[in-house]
Amino acid sequence: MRMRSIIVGLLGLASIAGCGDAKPAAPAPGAPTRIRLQLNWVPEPEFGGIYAAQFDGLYRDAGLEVEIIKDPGGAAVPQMIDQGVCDAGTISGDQILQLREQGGDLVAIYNVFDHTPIGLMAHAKDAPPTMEAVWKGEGNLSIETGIPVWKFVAAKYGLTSRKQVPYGGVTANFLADATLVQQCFITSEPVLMDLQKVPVKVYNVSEAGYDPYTEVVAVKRGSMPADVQRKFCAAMQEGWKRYMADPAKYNPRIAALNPAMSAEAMNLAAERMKPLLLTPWTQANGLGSMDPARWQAMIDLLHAVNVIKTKPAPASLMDGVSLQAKP
Amino acid sequence: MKRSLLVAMPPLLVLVIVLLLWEGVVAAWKLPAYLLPSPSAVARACWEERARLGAGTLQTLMASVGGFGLAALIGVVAGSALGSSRMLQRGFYPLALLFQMVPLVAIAPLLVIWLGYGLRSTMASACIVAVFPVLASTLDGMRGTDAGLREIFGIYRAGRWARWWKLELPSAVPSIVTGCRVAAGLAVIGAVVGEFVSGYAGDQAPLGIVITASMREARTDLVFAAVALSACVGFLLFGIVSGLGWLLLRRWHASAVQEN
Repeated sequence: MRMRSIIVGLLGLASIAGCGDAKPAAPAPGAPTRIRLQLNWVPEPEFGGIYAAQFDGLYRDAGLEVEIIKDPGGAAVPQMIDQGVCDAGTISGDQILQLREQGGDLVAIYNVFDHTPIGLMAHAKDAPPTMEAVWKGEGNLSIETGIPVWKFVAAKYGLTSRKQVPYGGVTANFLADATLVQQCFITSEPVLMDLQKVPVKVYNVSEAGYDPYTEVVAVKRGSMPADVQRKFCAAMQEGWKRYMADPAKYNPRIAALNPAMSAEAMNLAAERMKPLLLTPWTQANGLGSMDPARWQAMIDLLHAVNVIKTKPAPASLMDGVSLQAKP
Repeated sequence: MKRSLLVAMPPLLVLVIVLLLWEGVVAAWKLPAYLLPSPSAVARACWEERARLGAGTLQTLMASVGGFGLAALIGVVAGSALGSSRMLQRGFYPLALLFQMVPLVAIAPLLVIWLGYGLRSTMASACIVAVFPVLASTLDGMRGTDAGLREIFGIYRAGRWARWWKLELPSAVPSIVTGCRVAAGLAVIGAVVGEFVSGYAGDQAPLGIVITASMREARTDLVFAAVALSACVGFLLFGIVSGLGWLLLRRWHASAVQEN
């Protein structure tokens, strides 16, 4: 184990530097249980409920001391969770599947978006009507090469005729190039463009038939005691309820942690998140809960396009405790 | 032949021992593939992804060679200009130094906006990182020109061009070659970092893109393969520069004569 810690330290020094100590100390009797939660992006409304629980003291009331660590840039969060560099982290569901193929063993304990917020963003002027037409158009396409979602889209529509360029999560290149189409989180880049009065058209990737759990809170299997996990999920669930009820109350404090996005933009983003979070499924089963059938669909699709070679049982990807996170 | 074998043996032996130890450590600790793949797994990834890695290596080689060539040209010209005038040197050398201090990762996204995606930006990244060692070594070489020879050129009223072409530049060549050797390795680093933000993906994706994409896929074996190939590009460039340096210096400079 010590050897593993040394190696992961060498591999991802920059990522790991943000996580503090290599291993949490066992809490003294009566002391709160410490959880280091590594985010995979900067503080934005997509983590609104996680922060709301922190701001309202919900973790503290549950006997937890949660340290929310923002992404220092390109952090390899799945690997960090699996190595115990952090206790939990936000990742996409398909990363759990990908890491399993390489020897990792993570489970999702809480799901944020019931429908994926990933999409493509194009300039509205002369924007093609469908995602397929965008994929087969001319110009540059700024996406994260290697992530399963685009492998799926490529399998569905064929290799893109556009020139693929790196995605850095910024909009400067989009503004500079009228033909550029870029990957986006529906709650992020399009919101910033709207506020800058740049007309854009957004194509949700679910249009192509792929609707994965894009943001789950994951832990290493068996690393978090069941009672701690239950309290943690319940606090996050309550945090999300409060955040979705009144995002404007929390956004100024989140914006203070991320000067690149104003509270005004965050309010707009939270509004656009509603249909992705507050769905018939979450209303019936509770925020944070996951549908095994959705996991199965994701497994089948990724297996069909050769992103994964084996097909695990959906129950092995989500911890049973998380299912109890119901209202 | 025997001498070449003697030269190659020690590093090869060390390499084999390191690879065996590495393979043993991975097997003994049962390390997951995403954490540290075994050398055999890296070799397997190299073979299975040979088309992608081959195309990537070619792209990175082109960016590195182009960036290095530009850096060598700009470095020698700018170093000569600074070496020929104390005023220029005082005015511009601190600026050149400042240029060297700017972190490439900070300006690489700007290069995309200024030059667009693809080879132009990655070549510019390689050039920015590699130019200073050539410039500084050219300047040092010119400063080190024999004072007696300078005096003789003065006595014969040699013009500025003749002084540079026939005295200062030849005197600076050994320094320039040393600077170019350093720049060769740096150019590859600059190209790969540039590719992270400006390289084209797809079938012809350069090694920088292969590295970032493989990281996202948790394919550490492929990351290692791409990193090893980047290092090979660096070695190749270093070897070419060293060979050219030897050709230039072999007849008259002590270092090359000794090697002979």
